[in-house]
Amino acid sequence: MANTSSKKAYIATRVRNYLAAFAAILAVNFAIPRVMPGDPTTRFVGPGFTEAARQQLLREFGLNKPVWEQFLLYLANTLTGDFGVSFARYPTPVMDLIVERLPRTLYLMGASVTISVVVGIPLGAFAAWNFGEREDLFITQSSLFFRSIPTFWLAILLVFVFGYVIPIFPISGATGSANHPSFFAYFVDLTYHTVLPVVTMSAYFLAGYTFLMRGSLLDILPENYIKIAESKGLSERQVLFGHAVPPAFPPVLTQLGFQIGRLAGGAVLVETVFSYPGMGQLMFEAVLARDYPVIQATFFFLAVMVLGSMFLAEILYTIIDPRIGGGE
Amino acid sequence: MSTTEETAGGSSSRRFDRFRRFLRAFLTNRKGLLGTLLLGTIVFISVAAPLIAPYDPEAYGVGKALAPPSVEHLFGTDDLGRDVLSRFLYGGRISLLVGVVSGVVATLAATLIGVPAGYYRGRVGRWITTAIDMSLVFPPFVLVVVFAAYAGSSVWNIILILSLLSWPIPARTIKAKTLSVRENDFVESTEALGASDFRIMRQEVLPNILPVVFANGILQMVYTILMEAAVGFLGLGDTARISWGTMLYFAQKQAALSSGAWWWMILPGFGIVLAAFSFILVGSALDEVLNPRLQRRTWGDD
Repeated sequence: MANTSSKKAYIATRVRNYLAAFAAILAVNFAIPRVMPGDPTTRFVGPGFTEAARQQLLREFGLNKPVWEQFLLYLANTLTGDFGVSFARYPTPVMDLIVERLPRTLYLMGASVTISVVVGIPLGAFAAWNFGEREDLFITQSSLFFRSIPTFWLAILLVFVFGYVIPIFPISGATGSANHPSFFAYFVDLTYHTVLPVVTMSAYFLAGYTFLMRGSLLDILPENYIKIAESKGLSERQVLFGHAVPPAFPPVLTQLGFQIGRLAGGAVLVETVFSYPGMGQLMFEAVLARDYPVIQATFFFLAVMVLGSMFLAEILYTIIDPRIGGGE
Repeated sequence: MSTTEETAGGSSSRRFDRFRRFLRAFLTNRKGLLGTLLLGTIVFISVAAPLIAPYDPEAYGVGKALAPPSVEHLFGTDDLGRDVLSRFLYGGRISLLVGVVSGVVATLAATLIGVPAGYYRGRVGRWITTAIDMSLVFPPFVLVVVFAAYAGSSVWNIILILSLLSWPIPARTIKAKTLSVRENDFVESTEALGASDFRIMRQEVLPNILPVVFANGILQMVYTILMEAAVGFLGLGDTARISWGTMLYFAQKQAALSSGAWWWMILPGFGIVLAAFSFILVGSALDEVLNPRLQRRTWGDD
């Protein structure tokens, strides 16, 4: 039946695109440190640093081999999870650092996305529902205002108000202590420490989704089938949630997928200001210290996280909107 | 949706009339009016900074160090006794320059890539679209951090980096709009007459997507202005020159907030918020005026 095979073809195309994106990540990741001016040895430069010593260092890190050989080595290493050893935290293996910090950043980003979506979308629907009324204007103007606030500035503001003036939230670190009696205790501690960072990150994107949902719903509300549903005598709530919201949802979801890249960038900023020991902070420190293996690894994992999130968003989209991928 | 505003080519007097109508609609729109006034003010004070700044932004000790806002120093002074307001006015020149130029370049790139992506059906269109989608995977700010740290932090480098990294999202929007414009009768009839692809894109498609491109461009500038501030704040900008970002970088380094000099951090930051907000007001007003949704107070009546 044309339906099933075209759906399969559609999925095959999407998967192919994701694989291509993954390949692009690998390629770009390899290229970045190598097109940068200077090389890792520049941070060791000092009075007694002879050319011979520099060559020795280059040899140790395998940087004197021809480029294509380096690339093959890089591919083999990356795909087996060997990201080498950190320059700045010699001799800690890079993978150790990643494993320790990745969950923290995942949690931060996940919580931010969840809150942005769970609060933003209903808010946008509510605004569209009351189009032109005071509620709508208030929500719309506030959303626009929040989109104008620099994330790091909001972070600093929150640190100041809730860290110093009214110290009710911690302003650094992921957890208060290294040991917790149970996972639940750990989770609570983590949540307590991430309240401010999550609020900071959510503000910007929440405003975005509110606006998107409102716009999407406003495009749908004038449609004929809404009027038909109304004339059938359904309650307002039934019309709204049963007929209007579902079609308004997919465009917002697709936008969610695109914006995840910008969310990852926000994580770098927020983690740095809050001294939150996640991937973002690691990347920033590594950049300052010219710690190439760490830079490469964090960039790789951040990009893969973005890819994974986009993939998840797309799956959600396909589940919600059965029109995609098949049918006439 | 509505094709009443879209036409092929058009005589110049008709276009002028349309522009006047647009202008009127835009300026009666509350957001548009407020946004234009605010934006105009901010641009004006930045451009006129050398004339209206009360002090030399680089001059040390024109006031006591870390002095709170007063009549002489409306924004107070920083740790070296420099007038914060003057620094803010001068800083605006760099920040706005970076933001606007990057936004323009990014929108240009987005148009050059987005229009063919939407125009060409079949393999070419799909390939370009795939390229756009792949570019969305790379977190822009992360790359900005890496490049700014290594490629040097001159103003033009920052502009280049920001432009190169913010084009994918507007490219998608432009592609979507191109797709819908493409279906219009006059495009197909021009095609039937045998016009070249390039000619069609330039003369039929482009004029009709220009409103979307323009509105989008303004909104992109919000993003680039905020990113410039963030890059500067992290210390990766050109710390030798004053921009809003680098001002806040020094404020943070000197622990402005915890040492009580809140004006040094809060006031310039709020200035950034106002500037970004003015762009957003203008951009979203443009969007509203150019892409009207049925203006009904309640959707129940008809």
